[in-house]
Amino acid sequence: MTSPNTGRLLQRNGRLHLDLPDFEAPRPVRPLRPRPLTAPEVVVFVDDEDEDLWRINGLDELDPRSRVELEQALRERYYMPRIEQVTSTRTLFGTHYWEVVTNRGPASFALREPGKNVTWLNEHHCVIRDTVGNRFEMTDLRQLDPASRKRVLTIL
Amino acid sequence: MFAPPPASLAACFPADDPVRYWMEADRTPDGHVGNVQVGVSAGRVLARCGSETLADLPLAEIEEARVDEMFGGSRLVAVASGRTHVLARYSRTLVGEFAALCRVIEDLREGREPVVPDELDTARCARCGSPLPERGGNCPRCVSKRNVLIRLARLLVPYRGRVALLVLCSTLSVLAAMTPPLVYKNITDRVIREGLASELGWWIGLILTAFLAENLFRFLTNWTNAWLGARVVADLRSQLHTKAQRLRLLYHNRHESGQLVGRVMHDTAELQHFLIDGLPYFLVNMLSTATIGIILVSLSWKLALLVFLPVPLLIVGGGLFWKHLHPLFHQRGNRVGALHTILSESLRGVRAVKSLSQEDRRTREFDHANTRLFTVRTSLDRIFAGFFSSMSIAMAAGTTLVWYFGGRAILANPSATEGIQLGTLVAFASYMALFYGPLQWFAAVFNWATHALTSAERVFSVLDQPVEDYDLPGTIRLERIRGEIELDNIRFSYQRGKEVIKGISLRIEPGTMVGLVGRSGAGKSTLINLICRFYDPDSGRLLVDGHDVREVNLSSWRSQIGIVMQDPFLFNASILDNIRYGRPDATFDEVVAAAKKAQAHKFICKMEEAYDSVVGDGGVSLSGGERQRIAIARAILHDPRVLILDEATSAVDSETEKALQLAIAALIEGRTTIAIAHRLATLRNADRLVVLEDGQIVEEGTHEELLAREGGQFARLVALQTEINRLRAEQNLWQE
Repeated sequence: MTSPNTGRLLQRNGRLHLDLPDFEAPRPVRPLRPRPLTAPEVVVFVDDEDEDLWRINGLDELDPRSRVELEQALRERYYMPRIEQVTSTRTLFGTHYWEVVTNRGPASFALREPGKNVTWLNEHHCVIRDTVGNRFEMTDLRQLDPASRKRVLTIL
Repeated sequence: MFAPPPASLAACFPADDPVRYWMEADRTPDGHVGNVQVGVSAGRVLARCGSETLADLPLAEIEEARVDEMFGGSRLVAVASGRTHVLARYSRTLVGEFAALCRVIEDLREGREPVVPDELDTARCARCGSPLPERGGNCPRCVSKRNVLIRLARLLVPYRGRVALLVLCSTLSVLAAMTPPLVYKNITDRVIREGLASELGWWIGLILTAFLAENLFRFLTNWTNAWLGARVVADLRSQLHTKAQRLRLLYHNRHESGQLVGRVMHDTAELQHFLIDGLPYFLVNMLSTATIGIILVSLSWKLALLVFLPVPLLIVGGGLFWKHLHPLFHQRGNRVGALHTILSESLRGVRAVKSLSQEDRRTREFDHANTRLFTVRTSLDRIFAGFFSSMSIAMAAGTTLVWYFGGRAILANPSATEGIQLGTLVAFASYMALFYGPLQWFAAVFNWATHALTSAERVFSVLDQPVEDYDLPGTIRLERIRGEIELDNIRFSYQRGKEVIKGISLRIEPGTMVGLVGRSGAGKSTLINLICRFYDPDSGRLLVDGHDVREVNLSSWRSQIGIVMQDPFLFNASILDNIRYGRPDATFDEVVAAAKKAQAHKFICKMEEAYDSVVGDGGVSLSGGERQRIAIARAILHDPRVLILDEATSAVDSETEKALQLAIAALIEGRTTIAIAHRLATLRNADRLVVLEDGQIVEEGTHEELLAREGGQFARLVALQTEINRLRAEQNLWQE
């Protein structure tokens, strides 16, 4: 349905715009990941009426400049820090308090009901949703240092 | 809620236009954790990160300020001169704070004095800064376990007599249990070794008395405790239920009803379990362990030391064991849950599975989950087995040491009359069994206590929620009102900052009917919620017969309102009791008269058990139209001065609708009525129609006036509906 290099992305007036061959002029769009957890590389572009205008199955379908624009837009829209180290965990009254170091900096959050708020994408990869809805990702439990891993495994 | 701004931010604003509102975001423009400050003055909006200014916009140029909700966070955006500026990016933690700031910008931009909420339901504890388990909830880090215990203990105060009895009986039962080993010693040393045969009967009598006393007092302890534990929990449960009824609707909106049911039933049951079984076990065994320790030392401190030798091992081992076991218990719970889900899905969804021919897949999924449960069960039981064996070895070590050294001491001095004698050894042997047994469970009870305290804390956190102001002193108690309602520039948001009612003024004359029209999400239902005072407006006033409702007794206002909803709620009771739910003292004649007016009498009489038929959850199933007519009969009997019809006639067939129309016509007579309906035709009888869009009134007038308005919103909606009806009619014809 889409062929590579047909669409171009650009910034105009502080917004991401999409230009397709059959457009008269670039249109303002929002990039959306239809499968944010299981296939984050797939991106659809929707206009202000939520109409789906274009879809790509990977960033490699874009020219380098568009790609930079999209990467930046996605980084802003899809904020999910990756946990690299778990510095401490504490459980009090059924709430687990985490102090972590992520690829975006240090963070602390509270987790309740891990069975409900932790999505496992495979045996070693999970996404944690904290009590207010912030998400944190652990891409590979095996890559964590032993102390961090032990803290994680006591809770999850 | 806005703190004074930091000096660095204040310095960015000129002296004659100082920063008035400000907020700090937790993310930098490049997506890292860091601070961005957004300051708002009367004339401009400024965002800065470190020393860098990200945006500096004159308020006059801003066309729109809004919040973009995104995956894992949000951002505050201002559109100025056609260009979008991102002022701040922040995590979900700050959603409420920035929504409030966004509204401040919008208010200032439109020349209004900003409405600033006094406090927000923050996601972080104001005292220690750690994340809260729920927005606006208690901070478990600041609530100490001790305080929860004290609060639990306070629940016992009304029953202090029984508590005293409990303490007395358990102490006596422990003391009685301590007696027999001492008697064994005396029988061994005095009766057998010294041959005082005449004393034997006396000592045996003492043993029997001790056993009897121990069991009698233990029975009394359990007897009292069964009552006390159940009483305390029943009190808590009923406090919770009362509380749940009086909580603000805002709380109910935010929490699933299942969660509250869980707290009322599950958490209190957990607490009861602990209070009845755990706590007495712990106290009695603590007491007996301490007493035995003292007796052992007084009998022979050397042997006592040998007994105490494995104690640290038992306590530390027990602690480690439970720490290790805890995650496994969790896992077992989760896996049992997963298996339950698969099983119930397979059964409830059996048609879907069969029609999609996925039986094999379901079998595979079940087997997989089943194996996972099997694995965790096996390791749990194996750890248990290992634990008990190693604990037994530790205890056996103590016992063996006592017999070895005790035996040697007696052999060295067989005729000793004090210190270690044969009887001492016998007494030690009996005490050791009593002493070691409970020790290995102490860690388990601690674990149990943590769970119970968690439950208690959850229960208390509901009890601490604010309730509606039912009987504020100084409020006016309304008698039968005329039914004049006036909304005076009302603004309202469910989530602070996200306004859904944006300044509505409306006057409804007594006894007239007003229809509210508009797309879903326009604010119709919210307006009704405000009129019922399920919520209080952020600003503006609601006047009833000229009184501000905030100065009126809440129940006295609500009792004047009757609501008929699209899907009326029927209680699990007979039709008779359902109709007179609001006026339990109504006579049967009054009920029948109301049912007749509501066009419900006929169908009720056709039912086998007529007015005695039990409806609601688990009762006879009624059609939507029938349920509604029962609700209308209930409203007629309740005889409210103000009537609210919320989509009362949607989703019924034409025949039923006719009956419903008749019922409603009987109901609205002489009452102030506010009606919402998707079928615009049903609002034809309204004296006035009010068209809402995006939280504001866009049109107002009679049905005819609005229809005649060229290009009006209402005319457009009616045209659309006529078209849909025409298409439907055509389709029906074609099908026939």
